[in-house]
Amino acid sequence: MPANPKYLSNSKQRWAKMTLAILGGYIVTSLIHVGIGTLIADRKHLVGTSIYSSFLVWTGFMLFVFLSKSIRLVLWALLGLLVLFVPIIILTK
Amino acid sequence: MSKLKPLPKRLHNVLFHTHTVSGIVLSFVLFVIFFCGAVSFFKEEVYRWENPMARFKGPDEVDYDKVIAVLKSNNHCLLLDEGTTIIPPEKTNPFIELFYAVEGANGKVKRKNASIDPRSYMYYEGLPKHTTLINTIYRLHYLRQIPVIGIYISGFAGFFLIFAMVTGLLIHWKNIIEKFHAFQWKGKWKRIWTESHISLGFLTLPIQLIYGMSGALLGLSILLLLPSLYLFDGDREKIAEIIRPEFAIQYDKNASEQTNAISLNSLYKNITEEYSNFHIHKIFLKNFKKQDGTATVYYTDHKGIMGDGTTVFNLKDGAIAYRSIPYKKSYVSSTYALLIKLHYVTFGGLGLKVIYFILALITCYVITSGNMLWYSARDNKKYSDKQRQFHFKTTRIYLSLTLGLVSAVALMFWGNKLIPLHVENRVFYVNAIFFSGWLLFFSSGLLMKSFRTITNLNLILFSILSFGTPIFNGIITRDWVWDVFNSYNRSVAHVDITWFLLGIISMIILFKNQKREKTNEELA
Repeated sequence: MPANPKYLSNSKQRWAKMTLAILGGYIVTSLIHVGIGTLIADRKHLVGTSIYSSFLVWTGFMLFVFLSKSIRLVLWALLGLLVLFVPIIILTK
Repeated sequence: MSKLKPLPKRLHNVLFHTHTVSGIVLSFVLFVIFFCGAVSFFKEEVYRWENPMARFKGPDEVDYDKVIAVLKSNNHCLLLDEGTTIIPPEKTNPFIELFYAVEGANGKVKRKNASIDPRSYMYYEGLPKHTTLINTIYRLHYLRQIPVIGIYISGFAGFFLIFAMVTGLLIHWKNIIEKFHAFQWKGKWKRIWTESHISLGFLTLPIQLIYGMSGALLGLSILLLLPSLYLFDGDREKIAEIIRPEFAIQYDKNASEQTNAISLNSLYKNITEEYSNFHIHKIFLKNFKKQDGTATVYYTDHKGIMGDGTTVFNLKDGAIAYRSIPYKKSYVSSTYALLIKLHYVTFGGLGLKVIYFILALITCYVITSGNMLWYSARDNKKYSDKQRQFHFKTTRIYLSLTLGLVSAVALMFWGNKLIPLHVENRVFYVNAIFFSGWLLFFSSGLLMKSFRTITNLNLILFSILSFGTPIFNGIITRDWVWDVFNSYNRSVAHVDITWFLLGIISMIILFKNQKREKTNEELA
């Protein structure tokens, strides 16, 4: 019954994935929340929402990292989110 | 029964592996957190049991102005400006509890707590700490005993619980309906562990989500604060105001002295008249002696999940500075309050607490069955002897630790009665009994050769300790179950009866287990 190892990543990849899932997940969560927060008129609503949405977004990203076939895909996704949100955050600040 | 659509093979295997690994690592700490948390639901209800001094019936009305006068006369360096909290008498605790600040050596602010007997206005310093019992278990619940990082470990445990829950739901998805209907306590252990893990895990999904999210929020609020801080240019107070608007009021440290402040009793009456079905559970005073001083009154109906309100009065003239009306909260200030209420179950009454308690215990079972499932799926010839030894040892540590904790909690109730109330450093001795008991049960579990002996050992220990608890309480405090059952001390009887029932349940499991063992031997 245990998982079939042929589908699992090797140990080097595994550590990279764990780091990306936890740290990257937090970065992504913060980026998305700050990004949306700077766009909406009343920022305090975001604080109220982030209380429950943060951990869900974070979990979602962790799933994405563990499920993606390669680390490169995850890095591209991270880069994409950075390119999308950082200008918004800087411009609307 | 039709099967649900399974996940694609690769996804299933990857998720299965993350679920297994995160689950095994988490299981140790999660069991401790869930079990101690489940016991802590009844922190208030057990108070009369743990402190025989609290077994009296207080008067219906309390003179809060006198409470302040008593507090003042007992503390020379009292700092009323710093914030003083008054907890009015409750059904579960007839004392008035006070949390206040005094000026300690070299001008530092020192926080203290005291209790006042509402019959005689006798003043006791440090009483709640002195009778600690559930408090230690409650602190263990968020790993407070581990310095500095304990709270973050518990917060991350909550967060990874969400992850384990989602991956568990996804990998067991195809079996949920089928196993749910097929589930029975017969056959091979491996099958029982699998089916009960899936069906009971499915039933406890809501409570796991609630505790995953609120637990992570309580432990890791600092991580949530950082993005919000950026939005408000690093203004921490601004965020506190958004979540709890009653904190938005500004105080002047140098405001002039207040001479004729309004009576606290009249404010109390004001609220009880306006909200007759509500119960005032906290009064908070700030800048009490100053012109801009306020009294914040917190009240709840103990029923609805939004059924609590806050009113801030100016002490100068009794005008309302801020109020949050029950059932009419704004979105922003209610999300945090909602998760906290869901976590502490301060709504719905005792019945709901019992339901929560049972669901939390089932979650403990789900965690244990996950661990057993992991072991029994690997207990075959496909694995080398070394690997199998590792699987066995890990599960043995897990079982000794968790079952030992259950017995140790029962032992602590003995400890609470065995160490008399007036003993100096009492808290230390009671805690020593609990932790050394846990260590002893844990290490004796490690010496056992099979899981069955660990379970049986702890079932016997637990039964003896459970049956002994009401007897000890009767002998030492003279409040036998039948004496207190029909009085205001009913909660004492409830605790005793609960322990007696737990003892019986533990005996039943023990005998069933033995019977099963016998029939299995006959079959083999």
